[in-house]
Amino acid sequence: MSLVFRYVPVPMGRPLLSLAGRSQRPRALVPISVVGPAGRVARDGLLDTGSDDTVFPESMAAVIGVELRNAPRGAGAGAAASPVPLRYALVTLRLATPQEQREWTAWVGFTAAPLRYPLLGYAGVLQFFDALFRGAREEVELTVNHLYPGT
Amino acid sequence: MTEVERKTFFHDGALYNENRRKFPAEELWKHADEHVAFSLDGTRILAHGKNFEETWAAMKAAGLDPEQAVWDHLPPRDEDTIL
Repeated sequence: MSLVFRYVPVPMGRPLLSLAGRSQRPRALVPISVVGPAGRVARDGLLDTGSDDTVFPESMAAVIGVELRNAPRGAGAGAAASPVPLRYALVTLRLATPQEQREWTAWVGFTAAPLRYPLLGYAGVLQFFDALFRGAREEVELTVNHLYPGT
Repeated sequence: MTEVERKTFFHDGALYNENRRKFPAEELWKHADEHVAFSLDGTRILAHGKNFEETWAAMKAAGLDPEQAVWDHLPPRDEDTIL
């Protein structure tokens, strides 16, 4: 069993030289639910093998009731950005298709820095799945591995 | 959404992505650089705004449950790539 998600083509404002003139970027986005003590938010998150941690915007923490005032802190670096402050919290994450439903808890970072997408990185998400990115088919298949802690 | 529903609710992410793939680009362009709440099946835009908080409030003002949506931030028109 596995979770299969088609990439989402994101329209761009002009033809893309790096994609032979195509005007959409296929992105490995998956609608992931983040559950906290007071609520749930489903958000398009980017499966990102280059991200060490899983990171969401702080605005989401507020609406799901995750308290960050005394949360453990960290700092991240992006491709060209100055250090990004992070605050960590334990949340429940969910991914589902008709074939499979997965729910697990994980420590994730929250940041006030602008994020185009939440980053679904190694810690928190990709460590628990074997991920097969099919470039030609524009889809990703996630299969839980032995580290997966959830249901 | 009740506490029990919240604890047990899953939505079909594969269907959402399939429908997002079909979403007309011209409709998405109307909301460039906006935060958007899509219906759980990815077929409709339920609310939009300058930021997440504004869009969340717009959902509630319209009598819609913000938890019954998938949230996204659509790229600005001058964005070519993300790094």
